[in-house]
Amino acid sequence: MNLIERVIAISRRRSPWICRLNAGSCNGCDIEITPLLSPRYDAEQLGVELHGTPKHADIVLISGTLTLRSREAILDIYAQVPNPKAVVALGSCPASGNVFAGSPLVLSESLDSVVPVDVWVPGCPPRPQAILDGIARAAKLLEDGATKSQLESRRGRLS
Amino acid sequence: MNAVWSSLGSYLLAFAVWPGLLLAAPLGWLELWFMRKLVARLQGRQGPPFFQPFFDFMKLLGKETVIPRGVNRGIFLALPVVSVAAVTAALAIVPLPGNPAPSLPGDVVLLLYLMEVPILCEVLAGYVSRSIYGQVAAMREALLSLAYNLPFLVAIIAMAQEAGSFQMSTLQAAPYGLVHLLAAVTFLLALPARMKLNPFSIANAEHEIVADSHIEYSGPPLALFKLSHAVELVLLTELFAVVFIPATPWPLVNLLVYLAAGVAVLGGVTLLATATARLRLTQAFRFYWVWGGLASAVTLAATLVR
Amino acid sequence: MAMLKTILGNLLRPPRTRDPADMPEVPPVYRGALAHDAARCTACGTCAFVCAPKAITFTQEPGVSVSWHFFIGQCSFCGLCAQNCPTRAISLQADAPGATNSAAGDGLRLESVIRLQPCTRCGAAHVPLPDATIEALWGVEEAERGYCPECRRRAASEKLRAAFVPAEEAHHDR
Repeated sequence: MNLIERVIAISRRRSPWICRLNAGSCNGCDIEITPLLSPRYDAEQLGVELHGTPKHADIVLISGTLTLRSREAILDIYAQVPNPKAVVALGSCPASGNVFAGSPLVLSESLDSVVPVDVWVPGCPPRPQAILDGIARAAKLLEDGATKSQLESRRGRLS
Repeated sequence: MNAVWSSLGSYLLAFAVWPGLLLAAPLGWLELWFMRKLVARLQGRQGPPFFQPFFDFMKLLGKETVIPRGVNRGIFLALPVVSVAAVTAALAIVPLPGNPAPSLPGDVVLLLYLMEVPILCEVLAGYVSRSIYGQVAAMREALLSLAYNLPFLVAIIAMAQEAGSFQMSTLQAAPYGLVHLLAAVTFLLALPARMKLNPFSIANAEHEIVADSHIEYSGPPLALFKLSHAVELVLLTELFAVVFIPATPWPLVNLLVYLAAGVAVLGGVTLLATATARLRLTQAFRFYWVWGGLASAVTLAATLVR
Repeated sequence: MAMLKTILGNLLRPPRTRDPADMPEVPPVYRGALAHDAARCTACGTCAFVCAPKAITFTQEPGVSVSWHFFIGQCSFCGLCAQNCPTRAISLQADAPGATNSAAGDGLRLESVIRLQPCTRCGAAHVPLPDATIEALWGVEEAERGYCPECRRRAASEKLRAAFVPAEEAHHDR
């Protein structure tokens, strides 16, 4: 690995820009992202910036129950995020549907069946430090080239 | 023939090394870090690490470029390059100590033109991206540039009138007077909007229109736009320092004074940005045409009185 | 002006930011991850019944064990299970569950196995009750500790009968 590649890899860990995606959440998880930007938790100390557009993001934070209608939107927005990218699932809902599982309007399955998820942050909602920890883990995966999308593209290039 | 080559060489040196890309980029990142750190500290936060803007740039370089469907590929990719090139060329004209490029008669006009190019690029970037948010941002940027360019251009033109020449080195060496003070105030009025900072961060209002006009950009082109913004910060602060701060006969002292003045201006502008909320486009327009216009009129009147 | 005073005051004070390694303590009443004590569980199924998102389930291996399963990825941390657990076998820990890299399947699932025990009288496999429960429900006779529910019921009815019917008559009846 040459020097430039090494510097870019380190930069991926040091500058994770996040984009929030609400797939049908009760907003609890989204509200817990706000304290991340507040003085106490200050995600900027890790280089995190909150961006509105998926085109600028490295890490997508997906929160909420997956509804039938949000499935397409998730796929669309995930495809817009430029590689390399990571996905962090916030809270219980993306993992299973939580209390909404079994509703006819809800995809009662894990987010993993829609997009490859790299980090799961449990909680309902997760605490801000848990979200920060999840972002830091995802950023480390980006540095190591070990996110699922990175592994997938490497496998595609080899075969 | 030899003279042509050597002057061309000095221009290239000024463009590529100092005050051009090679040294202005780290300086721009330093200023960017300073602004972000100051905002964070004013808000009681820790703020980003020192190398943050550099890491942001390198990370963006290593990312994929997504080009939206139906977008003219050539223009889409050329705009950030043109933007960086124009800003760097403008910086190469500014007679900072150690600038190898000779000052030409009329280079102020060239400088003012080159300084408009990044704004044009942003407007075009917004329209070319075919994103509705990008188009709103481009429209806001275009309208706002009509507002803040009034005091900005008047400040520089008044200085040229005072110095009696459209040459940067003459502007720098003009004897001090009332016009300097008035023009400096007029220039500072335009500065927050030029830097797209609160209360005039209307074109890059991320809470209203998601992002600025580079909303559809990603990867290296976005990195170049960010670099262009960083170099533009250096250009604006150093232009202020060169034109309005008295020069000493010692180049090294000059350089330090200019850099310190640039950081001080940046600090003041950041303080204003942190303490205020975003205005609406009409309010910003009214501010620049009423108060900016008043300041411009007074400045121009002062040049005529002498 | 008030704003200016606030932000300049911030500049003079040290930042309020905490390091990621030094985050604020979780409050003691925080409802975090579940902990299950297999020794106290009677496998009554109340927790699975009251769980709204159905995060708790039971499986059994007949004659060997009963397993209590908990999926963190489905829990809404309401605490109903701990509140309703008759033997306090479930408790909510005060620490927040951490982020995991693994898929929703593993790492987020908890399993607690309750081993069945043979009845000391008839030999049938059953879920052993905690001592305190036995004392409260069935008295404290040492010989009956290891009985299965069936034998316990039988022993209790024999005791009841002995209390009403004199010993010789009972003997006569039988």
